[in-house]
Amino acid sequence: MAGRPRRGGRGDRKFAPVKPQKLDKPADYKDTEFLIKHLGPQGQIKSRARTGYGAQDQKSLKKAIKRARHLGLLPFVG
Amino acid sequence: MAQIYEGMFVLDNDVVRTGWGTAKSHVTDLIAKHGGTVTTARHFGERKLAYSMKNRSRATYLLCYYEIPAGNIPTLIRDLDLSETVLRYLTLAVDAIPEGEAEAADKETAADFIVAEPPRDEVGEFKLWDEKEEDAPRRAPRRDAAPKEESEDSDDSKETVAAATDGGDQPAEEN
Repeated sequence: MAGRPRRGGRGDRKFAPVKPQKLDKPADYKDTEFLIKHLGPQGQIKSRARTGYGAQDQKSLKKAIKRARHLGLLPFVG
Repeated sequence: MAQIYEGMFVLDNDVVRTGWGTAKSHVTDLIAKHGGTVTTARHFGERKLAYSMKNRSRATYLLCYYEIPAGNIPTLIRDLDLSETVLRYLTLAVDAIPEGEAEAADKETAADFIVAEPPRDEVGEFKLWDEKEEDAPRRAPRRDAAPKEESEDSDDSKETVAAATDGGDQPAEEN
């Protein structure tokens, strides 16, 4: 009898581990060129696992992207 | 001491076409009306919006740094909401005015400073990133899908070539 498929193993990884990153200063909503690098193909915010930022930097990035979206500088859906 | 605020205003291009000074003074006058003092105000570019706002797909941005008593912010916000010139705005409290902002704003006072007339709403297309750019995220092709498509195409082309050659030979044999 076959058991449940194993989850969470190495085989489930869809991307290579990212090197930890750090921001020199909080992300700015006006710097769209920088923010775009942290968006996925449909304009979604990349996860911490993909950006490599710590909690504080990821939070500032998230805020900046959402402010840029509010002003029409970035799309909600790409 | 009043708090310093950073304000980004998305302005209607129809008003900007009548003159940049008019559009800019509309916002600065509103701030002044509510007891604020504008330290710097400058053009922050005209661009295609990522999505349409109030049926406009292009707009001009105005970046302001101003001081205003905190109690007057709600009335200012009310006036901004009622304004038809300001499509959208963002107000943030900041500790200080960034370096270089005053110099950038001073350029607008120069006699040779001209803001080009904004293009029509339909002109241009919003692009999240340039397709040629290497940083552009792309979906990874499925492991099995990409090579198969190529092989299918190549097989098809071979078949068509073969059919063409067959077709070319047949009439010759009949004759």
